[in-house]
Amino acid sequence: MKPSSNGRGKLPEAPATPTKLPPLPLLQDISQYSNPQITAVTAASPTTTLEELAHLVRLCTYQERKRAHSRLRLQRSLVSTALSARLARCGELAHRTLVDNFRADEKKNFANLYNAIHDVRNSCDATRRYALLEPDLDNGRANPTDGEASNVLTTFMHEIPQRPRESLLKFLTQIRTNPDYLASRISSLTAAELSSLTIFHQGLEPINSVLPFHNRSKGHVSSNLRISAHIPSAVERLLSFQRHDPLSALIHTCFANSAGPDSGEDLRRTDVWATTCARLITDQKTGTEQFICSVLNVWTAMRDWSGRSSMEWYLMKILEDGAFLLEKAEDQAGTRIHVEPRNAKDSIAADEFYTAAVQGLFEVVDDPGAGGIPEGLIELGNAILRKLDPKWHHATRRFLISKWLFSVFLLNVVIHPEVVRVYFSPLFTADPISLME
Amino acid sequence: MMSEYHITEYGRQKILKEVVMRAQKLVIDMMW
Repeated sequence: MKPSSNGRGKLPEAPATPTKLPPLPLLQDISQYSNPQITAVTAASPTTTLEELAHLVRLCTYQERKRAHSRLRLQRSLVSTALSARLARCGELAHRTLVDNFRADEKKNFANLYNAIHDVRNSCDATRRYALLEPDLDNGRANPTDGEASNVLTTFMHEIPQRPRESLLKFLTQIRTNPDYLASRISSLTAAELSSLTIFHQGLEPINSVLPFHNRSKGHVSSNLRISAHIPSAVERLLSFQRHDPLSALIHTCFANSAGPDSGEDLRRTDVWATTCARLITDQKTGTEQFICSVLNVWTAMRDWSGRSSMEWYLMKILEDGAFLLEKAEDQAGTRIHVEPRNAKDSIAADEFYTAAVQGLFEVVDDPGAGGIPEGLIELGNAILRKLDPKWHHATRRFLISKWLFSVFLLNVVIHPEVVRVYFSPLFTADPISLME
Repeated sequence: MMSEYHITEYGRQKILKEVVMRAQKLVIDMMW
């Protein structure tokens, strides 16, 4: 709107025509530039004094600087929380590998990984101590004119030339917002390529048997994969911080840190990955089952499992109730020394125990109030089913329940409960920004 | 989970594994 050249005092003398609109002030909504108190003061007086104008300009400058400062802090906080979450995930995987090494009596591997974890922890502690010595963003600025430069958070993205950066951002945008984009690319992979996507998650699948575990080959991954790809060691996995883990990059790094399953970002992520899993199911490619199991494992680790405590109680109960099965066959160290032939009475007691224990397990799983089924399975499983034609529903449900829930998740949880979900927050409490950059 | 308890390898096999394998078998028999 062009202001009238007649000036404010002469407006009533102008000829009133239907096309002529009343003049509006240059700043129509000054609430963006001032606080309500100042607005009230200026509204009370018919004119704006030079002092008030100067005050508003100073206030505007101050608030602009404050806004940029807050924005920078927000960006840093987002990066920090995302990296903390990533460290927690790395810690979880490392813990699981430590348990595996302990059980397999792989002392050297255990020691190497244990030392690496403590190196990371020491590094985090040192970073935190160093961060305490750094001046705050406000105090570190000697000259207000330096504010513009210091209020810009520069990342590696700013060091990339413009064209590659645009390509990279376009690629990320496609992954995040176009579910068909990732689905079509994942479904076009060969079985070996699909397997290599989950290379950082292999060797962590549940162990079907207990005692033969000691005879497993080192690394315990499939032989065809061992030939085709380099298998990262446990220490390499930890120190990689998921930067070289393609599945984690696609699930975690391409999206913001999870703010719960109902957040917009998580809904977007779930939609993308449900589409991808559904496409793999309909294409019936080799290696699909293992890949989807890996994705479900990631989802389960990302979400809470509220059935954990009831499962723990259940396991303690069956260990206590079933102790009579071990009495004649174990010495104090738990080593199996000999097994006496069972009589009919023992067999009946054992069968009764197993029947009751199996019934108890089903009750734990089938307790919706206690959250027996992991939230990650319910969330991603339902999303996958919604993406599928109904003719695939029965087979997919069967896969999710019998293959993943009972043959992967519960098998692991019941036989090796120590591996299940631990919180590494005491280990990684430092601000990890400088560690990762 | 259960990290404060020591479960012997034989106990794992004789109780925990046996129970979950029986449950798994029931589920597979029912669904396949």
